[in-house]
Amino acid sequence: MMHGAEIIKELKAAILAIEWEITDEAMDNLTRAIESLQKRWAGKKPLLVCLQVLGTLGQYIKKSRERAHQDAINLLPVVFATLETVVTDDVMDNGRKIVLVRETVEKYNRLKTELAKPRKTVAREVFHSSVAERVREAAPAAPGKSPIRDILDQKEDQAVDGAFNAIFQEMVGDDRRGAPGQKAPAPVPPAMPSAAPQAGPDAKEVVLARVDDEEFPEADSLLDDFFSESGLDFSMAEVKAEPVMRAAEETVEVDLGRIEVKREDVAERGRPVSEVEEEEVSLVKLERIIHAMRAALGKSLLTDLAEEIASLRSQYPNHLSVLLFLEFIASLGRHLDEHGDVARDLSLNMLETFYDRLSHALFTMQPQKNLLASHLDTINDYVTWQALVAGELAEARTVAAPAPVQEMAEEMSAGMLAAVRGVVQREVAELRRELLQLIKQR
Amino acid sequence: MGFINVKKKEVQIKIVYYGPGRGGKTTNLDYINKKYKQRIKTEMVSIKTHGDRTLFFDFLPVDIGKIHGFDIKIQLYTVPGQVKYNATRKLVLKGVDGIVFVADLQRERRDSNIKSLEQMKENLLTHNKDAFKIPLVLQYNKIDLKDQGIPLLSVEEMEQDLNSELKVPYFVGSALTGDSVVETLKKIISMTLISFRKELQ
Ligand SMILES: Nc1nc2c(ncn2[C@@H]2O[C@H](COP(=O)(O)OP(=O)(O)O)[C@@H](O)[C@H]2O)c(=O)[nH]1
Ligand SMILES: [Mg+2]
Repeated sequence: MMHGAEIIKELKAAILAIEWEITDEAMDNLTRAIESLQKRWAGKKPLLVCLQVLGTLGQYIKKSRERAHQDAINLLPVVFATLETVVTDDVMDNGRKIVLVRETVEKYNRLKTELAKPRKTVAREVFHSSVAERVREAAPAAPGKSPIRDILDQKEDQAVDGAFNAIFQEMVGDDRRGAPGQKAPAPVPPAMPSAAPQAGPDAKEVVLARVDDEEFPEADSLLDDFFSESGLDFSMAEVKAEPVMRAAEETVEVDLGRIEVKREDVAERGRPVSEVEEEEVSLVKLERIIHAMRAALGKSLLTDLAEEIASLRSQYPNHLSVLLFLEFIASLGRHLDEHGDVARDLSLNMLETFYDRLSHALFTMQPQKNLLASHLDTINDYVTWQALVAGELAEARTVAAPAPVQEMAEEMSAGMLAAVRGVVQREVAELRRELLQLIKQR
Repeated sequence: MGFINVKKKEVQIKIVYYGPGRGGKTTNLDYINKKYKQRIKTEMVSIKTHGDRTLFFDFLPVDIGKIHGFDIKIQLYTVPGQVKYNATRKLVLKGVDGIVFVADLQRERRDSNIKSLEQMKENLLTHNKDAFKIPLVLQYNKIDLKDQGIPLLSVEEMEQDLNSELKVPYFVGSALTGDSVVETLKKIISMTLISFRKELQ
């Protein structure tokens, strides 16, 4: 008999592949894995239900691709985890397993309701039919690339390129730079990105080709010398004993935004290796708080949220996009704090959506236009949410103080408005510039 | 294209560690950095963000010494693994002289390895480089997980998946314990230096 883990390994591979990238191939593998398991598990209701949910989610994601709701993509591994537990956990009893499946299906149903909600409200229509929609039309997500898309991509690469140049020069300088007492500055990296000027007039490019059957004894002996074990005060025990600290104190982290070299906080790294995220960003804490709120909403979490927002605000005082999202997230937090029972799920969903967009806006290399669409969507969603909540608050007259209803309806704080205005102005100007450029090129 | 500066008698070589996210690229560099810190003298740099853009990679410059009077300066880079950072991956590959592809031996990462290698080939093409021509070494990483009973791919499977056409040198190792880390690096540097041989004589 085949072991449970063995049976679902193809499905697992498919799910992990989707986590890596949504491609047709990945989605087809998922479908195939599901079909084969459906046959094997004929008659086993809880297992089939999980498969069905995975299948439906898969189809939805395949159809909507990058437009797929993040919650749907997130739910996929959750459902799989349930299935995996049911199939492989020999200790858990069947009753508990069925409860687990039920809970998972419940999550799916909630998402379904959320997705089925009419996306078009009055406010949404205004935005969509105007700027956002036109922006989308101007640069369709279709595989065939539009000229605008090309330009934006190019611009993006150039921007990144320029950043590299500036940073490297600033960071590593030339061989003569470096304050006394400091370690020797790193040499200028070659060929990154405009190699020739950096390498200097005396430099000559050598195109390297693989040579399989030649030897270069001088090189090998140099390498043997440099990498020899002798004279190193280094032991494996040291590495194993403090894996997370490995080289942390040797590492200089550069915040390219400000181009200043700061030593990495060694204590910060004192976590188990398995938890070290690859692209660690400062939104980690905010994300953790928001996710925890989903599990159990409480006063202390809301306080944490407010504090974290304040801290992020001070970290990014000039980042209009971040400030905008933070305004909205803060407002949702305040609502949950004051009227946690009104539109709770909706508000939590909103919070997560806004967080996703914030993290995307902050760390994406997406061209400007996508950020604009994302900001407009957010403003829009916020206005819609606000109207809805105000309505529910008015209806639920059980709420003692009537004041919040009034406040709610107009609660687009001054800060929020300023942030919105700033972001939109900047982005529209940027888009206009790009369009003009495009027109000129014609 | 490595750089040789005849006047300054200096050679600059850029090596990039490429591979799926969380495969062990940074851990490779960490290990080298830690183990040879007295000899390396410079500092490892991790680039994180630039304004609202993210440029994730690690950078470790290593001067290994002289050949025929030429200073050999090696720059080691890693690329970010996540899908959304392909622009950075592409950029880091610019001007690359040699590549270490760090693949993950965990069975469940099989597709990620294959995809990442495919993407590397494509990204190289955008810089007019060819994975079949550039000095390249494969590292099959995390062999230490075998002892923990985690399902791993066999070397034959890895070879079949990744190296059946490329036919480049490969090393089975563990960046965490340092197994094969140095051998891998020595091999890729040696392969790139061979291409410089004529220039240095
Ligand atoms: N067991 C084991 N874990 C490893 C090995 N190499 C890396 N890791 C772990 O895998 C995770 C990702 O490694 P990292 O070097 O950041 O991967 P990168 O994304 O390729 O740079 C970290 O938690 C490492 O500690 C290895 O050889 N064995
Ligand atoms: Mg890394």
